[in-house]
Amino acid sequence: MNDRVTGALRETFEEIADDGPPPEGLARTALSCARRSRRHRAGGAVTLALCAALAGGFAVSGVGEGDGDGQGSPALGGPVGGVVMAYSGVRDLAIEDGSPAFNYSLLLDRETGTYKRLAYRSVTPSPDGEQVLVAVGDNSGAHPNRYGVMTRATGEVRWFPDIPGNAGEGVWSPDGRRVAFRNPSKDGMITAVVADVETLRSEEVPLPDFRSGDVRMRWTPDSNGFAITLVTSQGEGSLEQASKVGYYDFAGRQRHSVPVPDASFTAAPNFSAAGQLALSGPVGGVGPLTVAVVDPQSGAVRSRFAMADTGQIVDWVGEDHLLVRTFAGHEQLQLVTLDGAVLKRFTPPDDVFAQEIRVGPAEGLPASAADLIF
Amino acid sequence: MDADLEAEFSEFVGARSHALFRTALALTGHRQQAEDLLQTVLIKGARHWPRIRSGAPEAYLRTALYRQQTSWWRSLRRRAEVATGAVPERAVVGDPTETVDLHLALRQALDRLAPKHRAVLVLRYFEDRPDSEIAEILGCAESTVRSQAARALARLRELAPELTIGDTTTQEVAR
Repeated sequence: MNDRVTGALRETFEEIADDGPPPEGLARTALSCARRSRRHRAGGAVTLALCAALAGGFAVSGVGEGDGDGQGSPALGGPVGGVVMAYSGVRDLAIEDGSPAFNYSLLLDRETGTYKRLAYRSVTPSPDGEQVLVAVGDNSGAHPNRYGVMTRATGEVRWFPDIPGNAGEGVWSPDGRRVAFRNPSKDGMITAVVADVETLRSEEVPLPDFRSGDVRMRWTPDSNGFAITLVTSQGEGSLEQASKVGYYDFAGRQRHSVPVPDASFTAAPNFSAAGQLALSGPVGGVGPLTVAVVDPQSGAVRSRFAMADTGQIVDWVGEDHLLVRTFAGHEQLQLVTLDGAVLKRFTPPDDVFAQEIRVGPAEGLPASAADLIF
Repeated sequence: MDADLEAEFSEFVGARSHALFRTALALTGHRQQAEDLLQTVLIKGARHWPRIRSGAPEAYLRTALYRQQTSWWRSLRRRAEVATGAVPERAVVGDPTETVDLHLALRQALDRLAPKHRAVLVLRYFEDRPDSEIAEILGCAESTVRSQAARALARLRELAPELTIGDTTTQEVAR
């Protein structure tokens, strides 16, 4: 083995390992699964009851309730009209290996006000809620990734024929016509694959500023490009540093950029439906979550607040609120104003730790779903 | 496990999950599979935390990562993956993009290695472990480590002929 090959192997492993931080909530899921395993050994009745409930759809009694430590419940008034549309990528605690049933998703049935279990590892409702981007597979030869669009009314899925198996999770354009996937391309560069929902055809969009790592990408509000947080890292042990948010067109050209309030704002940008921009960070649980609402053109900070714990922005709820997800031993969802005032705290259903949580408007839900609305 | 122990476990995971995740990425080559692997191992860690916390919990979990990845069912499952795909094209000598091409070819070749072969290379060239420690982690003899490494490198050369360009060394297992 000569030095050249040894060096190439070391560098290649370093590149592979430098794919961003681990997902949040690893400890919580591990502890939940360990507790569940003990209950299994103690008799299994609880497990069976939960599985039966999940299989047939259930009303999530935990959502909308306090967190059990006296800090829950609304503080500043009634609901503002949001609801969790989907818990996507939920680890099935009954399965300890990496079988295809490893992850499932819960999707809100708006007619019944209950969550239905779906055998997709990822579900993402479209902006109008009429369609759902779904994903199966784990990028292995036996179970390659597949992405499709499910029509909510019928449950029928139309599969994209040519999305690469190693593409990241898809992001809907605000106009609901396209879906973009982060794609590590064959030449080693990061690109975006943009797929048309109507025709299912896709094309690769260059992102020449990005060569590796966890590109944090969102559509711009006009659906004509992407906003990406530019992040650098000196490797393990050094914190990621954000420099700016770049706006890119479909040719990969940077149209515009805005500064981040400081280098810890490493998360993907979050736009409201009306185009307000929320930045946040740090990613990876290395410090308490800080959020800033900034001018999307100049980057001027309009408001800024910090949470007590690590976490991430889930999404905007209307134009005046954000739903944030924090992790401090246990997961909590918190509805906050743009000044950081907490209006409501609640926890996901017991044993449900989702990789992604999707939020939508609560209009049209039956009265029985009142507890789900925040 | 009481609340204090759970908090201690959560604190440990918060502090060390990044390093463990890097190893999982090197072992699997795919973020999603790395997340699954690390989560599986952390569940075992949580279950045994009262016992392992006072020793070397990171070493326990790191060993578990390797053994989980190379366990028999994973081997069977991943073998289906390594049997597919084309041999990468050979890079042109002197090409200014040679390094990029070499790394890309290596990535593709590593994806097609058997899990145990890949694990030996990760331990040697990513973690810089001596053969004695690799043998301990993988639960085999040092001679097995050397033979697995030689086979892994030979297989890499088959899959990525770029590696043989300029390679004048015949000692397969020396570093």
